Amino acid sequence: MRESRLVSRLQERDEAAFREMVRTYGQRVYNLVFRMLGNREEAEDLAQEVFVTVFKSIDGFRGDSKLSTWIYRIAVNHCKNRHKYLARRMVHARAPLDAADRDAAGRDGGPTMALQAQISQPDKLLEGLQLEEALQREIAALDEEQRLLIVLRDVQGLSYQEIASITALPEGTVKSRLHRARMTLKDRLQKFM
Amino acid sequence: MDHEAVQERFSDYLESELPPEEQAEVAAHLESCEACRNELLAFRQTLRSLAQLPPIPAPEGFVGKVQQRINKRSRGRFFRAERLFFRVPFEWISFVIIILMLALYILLMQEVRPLATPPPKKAPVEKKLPR
Repeated sequence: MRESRLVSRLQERDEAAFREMVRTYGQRVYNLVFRMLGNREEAEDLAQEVFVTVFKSIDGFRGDSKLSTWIYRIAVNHCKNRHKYLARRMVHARAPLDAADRDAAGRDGGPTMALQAQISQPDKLLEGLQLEEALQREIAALDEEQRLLIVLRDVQGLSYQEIASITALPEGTVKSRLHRARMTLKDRLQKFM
Repeated sequence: MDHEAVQERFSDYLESELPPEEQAEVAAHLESCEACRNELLAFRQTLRSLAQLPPIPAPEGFVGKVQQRINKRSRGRFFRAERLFFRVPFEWISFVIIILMLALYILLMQEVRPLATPPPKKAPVEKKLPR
């Protein structure tokens, strides 16, 4: 379905169109939110909230950007608000990928399997898992803006233009801040490489 | 170009975003500097590891959970049909029971009616009057 058609149907509160939209963008939103919060339960709750907001606010979407960019913007705003809320409540614990997450990721020949398919020896597999955990931990330890840029560009593969639109930062600023974030991450990960 | 200037350009260098002459300058520096070559290797490896991070699958039944949340917030205005799957459809069950009872009643009435009709009257016997 073309995006403009999907948007008109969403604006008419077409429930089938909404289901299609959640199926299309649900995984990406959930991953963004999970990488930002580092906690599975919080991520699930927040990802649901993102789509509730999309449903409520779709009339405000004017097509100035791609629908995915607009949804990402909502997700990013929700993440920022949730961070503030959790910081206030002082219950924020950024957990590294725990066993449950890894199991879930590995179900149905899932992505963990895909990542580790290249690692044939057990010690290499362990190294792969350790690196993955270290990576998630170090991503979580970055400051919020650096984490967001790393996740959007290097984990989710968005273009600089999209990231600039989502974060409301000039493209040049996105590039320079992202570079600093990458250098920080490289220094912190050096012992695992 | 010194080490710091070269390392500041790693992202642009790997993404070929530098003007051609700068790209060549960085390449020339890397050719002659082992420390920066190692830094670039570690930088590149970090990016590769990030790109290979496995996507975490959305929780099971995610679409349904979002629908339920909207249904609840809108006080049942949206995604009503979905709700029907999650509870016993009492209105349909009572409708079927009423139809069945009506059918049973009609059937019984048809069987009972022949008994209810009065037996045909015998013609009155005329009494013979004594002559």
